[in-house]
Amino acid sequence: MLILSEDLIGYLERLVLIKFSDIERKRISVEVDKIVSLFNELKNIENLDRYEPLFHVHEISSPLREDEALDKVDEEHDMLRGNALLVHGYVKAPKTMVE
Amino acid sequence: MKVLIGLEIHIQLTSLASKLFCSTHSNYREGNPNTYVCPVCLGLPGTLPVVNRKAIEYAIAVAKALNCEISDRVVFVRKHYFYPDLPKNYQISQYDGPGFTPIARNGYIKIFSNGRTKFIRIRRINIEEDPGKIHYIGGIEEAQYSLVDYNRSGIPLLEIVTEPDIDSPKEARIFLDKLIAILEYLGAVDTALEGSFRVDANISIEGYGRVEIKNIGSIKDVEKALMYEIVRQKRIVEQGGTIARETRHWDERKGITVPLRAKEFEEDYRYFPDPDLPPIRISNEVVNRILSRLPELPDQRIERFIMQYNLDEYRATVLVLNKWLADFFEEGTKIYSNYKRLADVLITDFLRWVKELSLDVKKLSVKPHDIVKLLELLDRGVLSIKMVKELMPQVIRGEIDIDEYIRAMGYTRIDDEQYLEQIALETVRENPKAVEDALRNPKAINFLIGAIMKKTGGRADPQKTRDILMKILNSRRM
Amino acid sequence: MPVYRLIDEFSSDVYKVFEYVDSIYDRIERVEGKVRAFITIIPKEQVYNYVENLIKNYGSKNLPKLFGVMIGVKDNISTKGIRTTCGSRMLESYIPPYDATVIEKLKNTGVIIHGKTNMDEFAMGSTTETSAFYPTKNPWDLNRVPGGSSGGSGAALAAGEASIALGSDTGGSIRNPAAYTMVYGLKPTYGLVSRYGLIAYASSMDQIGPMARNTTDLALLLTVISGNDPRDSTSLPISTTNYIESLNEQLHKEPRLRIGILRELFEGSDDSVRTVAYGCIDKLCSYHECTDISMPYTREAVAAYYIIAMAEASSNLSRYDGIRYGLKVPVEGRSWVDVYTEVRTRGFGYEVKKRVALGAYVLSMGYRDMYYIRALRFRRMLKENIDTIFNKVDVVASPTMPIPPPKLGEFFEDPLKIYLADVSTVIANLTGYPAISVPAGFWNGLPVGLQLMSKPLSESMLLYLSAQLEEMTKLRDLIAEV
Repeated sequence: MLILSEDLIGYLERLVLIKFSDIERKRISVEVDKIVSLFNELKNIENLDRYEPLFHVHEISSPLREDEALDKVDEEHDMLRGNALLVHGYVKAPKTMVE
Repeated sequence: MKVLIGLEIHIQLTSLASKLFCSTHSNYREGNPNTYVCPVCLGLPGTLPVVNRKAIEYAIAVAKALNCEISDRVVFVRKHYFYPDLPKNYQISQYDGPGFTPIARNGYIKIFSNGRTKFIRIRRINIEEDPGKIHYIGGIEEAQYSLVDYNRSGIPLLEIVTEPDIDSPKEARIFLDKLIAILEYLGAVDTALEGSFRVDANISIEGYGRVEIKNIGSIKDVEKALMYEIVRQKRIVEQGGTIARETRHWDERKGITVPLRAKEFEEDYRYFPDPDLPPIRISNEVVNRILSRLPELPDQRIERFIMQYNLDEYRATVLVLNKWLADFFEEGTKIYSNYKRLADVLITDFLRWVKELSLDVKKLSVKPHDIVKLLELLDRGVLSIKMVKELMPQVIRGEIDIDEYIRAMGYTRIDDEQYLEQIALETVRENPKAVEDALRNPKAINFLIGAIMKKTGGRADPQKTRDILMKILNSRRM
Repeated sequence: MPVYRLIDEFSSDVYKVFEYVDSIYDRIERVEGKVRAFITIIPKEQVYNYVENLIKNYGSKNLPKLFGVMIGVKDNISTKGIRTTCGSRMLESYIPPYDATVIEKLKNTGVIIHGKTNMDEFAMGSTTETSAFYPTKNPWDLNRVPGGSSGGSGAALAAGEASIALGSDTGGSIRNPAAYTMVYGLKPTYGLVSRYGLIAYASSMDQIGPMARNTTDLALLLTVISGNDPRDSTSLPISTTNYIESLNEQLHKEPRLRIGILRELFEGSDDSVRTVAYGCIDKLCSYHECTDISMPYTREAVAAYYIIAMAEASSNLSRYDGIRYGLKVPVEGRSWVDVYTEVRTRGFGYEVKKRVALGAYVLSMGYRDMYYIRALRFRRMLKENIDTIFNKVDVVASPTMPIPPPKLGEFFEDPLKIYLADVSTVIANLTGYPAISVPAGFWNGLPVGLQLMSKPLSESMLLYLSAQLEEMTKLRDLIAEV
């Protein structure tokens, strides 16, 4: 039985940069308990280790792309305009140095 | 105190036309910000990666050149961390751990260090994508936000990781020189391009914690940073302190390493194989084909130079490790056969001046036949070694027409025997002690020859001068 | 009117398109307020312009194959210039600068994309109740859910607000709403339809698929969207198949197939569902050879599905930080950790946050082997078991959902109950095999669906059986009175 301590929730919050509100924390500790119990049922299957993990459902090899370049985009492209904040063409982002 | 150094080198595969996972132009340095981008390398929702064939081929070529075992499949993993230069907040990379394999492992580079041959082991080679670049208006401290340019995002990188087999900063430099030479011979990377080559250095004193110095941009700085670190660490240890495991940053300007702030994000990268990229199978046929198309690599060329041009290992190595110089040399050998003399002048004065003048070796105006001409004049005695050395920078800069120069200075050889005899007698009169020495020791005649050369501004025919002097001396004996 | 008849109408008289467009928009005006199948509806004038341009460019005798057909597109499929939200506040204002491959293919056939349909946020849900905007109602009973996560697409079809629709299916998200809205929905073999432009939830299981009110329309749509795409490295190396042709071929040959009745899934269903589903089975088995089959570990399959789905979702959703697109918050003077956390906390709803956190958990150091790797081992075992079953039968049948469509809000407190309702559908996603949900019948006015699953690239077989059932049940082209 997983006991969802504050520590684990806090750890996960920092790992994925999300915060839960107080109400959500209450709800999630109950729910996650049940969900992880379901996950743990996999342990009951005997000899599961005999099987190699199946990462890709079909046995195909990734295709390889020929090394050809498309034309450079022009300055007026709309890939970022409208969706990002631009300053002289750069994308505005928060600082990475922390005090 | 034994020192253990390991290096992690990141090189961009600069000769590819497109990026690692998309067809965007890869020569991003020329562009305005965010113009060498596409939905894939911007990480827009719904986009998917497709692997560049040439990147795999280059990786295999590099792996072969470094004597590595090549994996039978390339598995890409996702390495998760949040950072503004990383569009998907995960990097598609490779991982060396149970179940996952890098493209190559267990190789080595042979170097000549401390008078002996040594093998530095390569632990693994990974292929991964470069993130974008973060800029600041003004300095980092004053800026209220950062500016990100994604042109570099998705550029193919090879990560080459060594075992901690390197035992000194100097050896690190020797190793890196060799590695870069190999990569240049393969055409994998043009290290003149800014940012194409970055090194993380790990250094520890045996028994103490390992310090990582991140993101050093030149071989010279690697050596300097390591030298600084060793001194810093040794001082701490000698005073009874201990070295904790940490990450530091090399400050080029101040010439010191400083601690990097503690990582803001958890170090759990949650690696798992990228479900968007099924493993790429690498067959023996592909590897053999690449192997058969490898160009001549440094070690092979050094051996060939030794045999073909009768050079010693040292000269051959200096030439070969500077590929452009070895190419220059070989051009020269087509029209000049005193290989040793040619090699000598190239690896000493020529190389030194090119570096001092900060010339772009890809755009040299001086050609091999210019140097060969100098050497031929030297051989004939028209020029002395001293003059060759003096003229070198001008020749390199293309500022001088040698023939014209010789004519202008009247630098024709003096072989008028009467005239020479006059000068010789003068010299003998002026240097009685030297004459005595020469009568006793035949080798000491060189002093007198030198004096005559000085008097004639180096123009005297050396052989005739010698003959005349011998005659004079012999007459003195009687 | 079914699409295959519409296109005949339009090819004889192209101006019938405008009547048709008007009728759909009228219908939308009347029922959308109650059903809420759409997140974005394109203004009628724009559609008129589009149609006029097509007629001008192609000439009225040379129009592309599906000219004029109005299709609802699930809002996790990128449509250039049209807002694509994934049912989330995070992408509420996101306008993709490119079209998904399936959209490019569809545009070449002249369809009209008149709306983006509602969905569970980032496809995480089975009822369309986790949409950040509003829930969609089931047109057959407005107090009940239409299923999810492609609930908007299913409801649009059932309410007559579109003629065909695109959905996506990761754990049942096409088949579940198809069953609950009495329409036909197919999850193709993994890799048959390009994922380029599908906003990812669980990359190793996601597939875009067709939804329609009859089998022929389904086959038409599948033909357009399927086929190899060099921009998707998981795309199968096969070219497009004409599924109408192969369907007609099968209907002509009428092969007698071996159908496996999956005992555990029938027994695990509510009586209501079981009765209706068996009714369908009886019809099928009057012609085909039916056997009882058993498959253990159906419950564990749900566990494995959620472990893998949450892990991949957690990774795929890492990119949402508001910087290049998405929800914006003030940036000045703040660290990226703070900014990202605020964006992701405000942009994601509870269910998404929960799955992202749990996904990171099962991938984290110390837990990855125990959960993620173990789930992948189970996946291989499941595939081997299924392959053994497919040595003995051609098709496996089960009720699509074990319960009839629940009431809105019915499962709020109990996530496990909702997750376990996926017990029939997740098998096809875990293994990459194709599966179709076919209307089976009504129980007390509520839709019940039957699922048929078969081996990779056997969509023709599934369409054949679907067409046969459709002929027997007459559950085709049904539009609910809303």
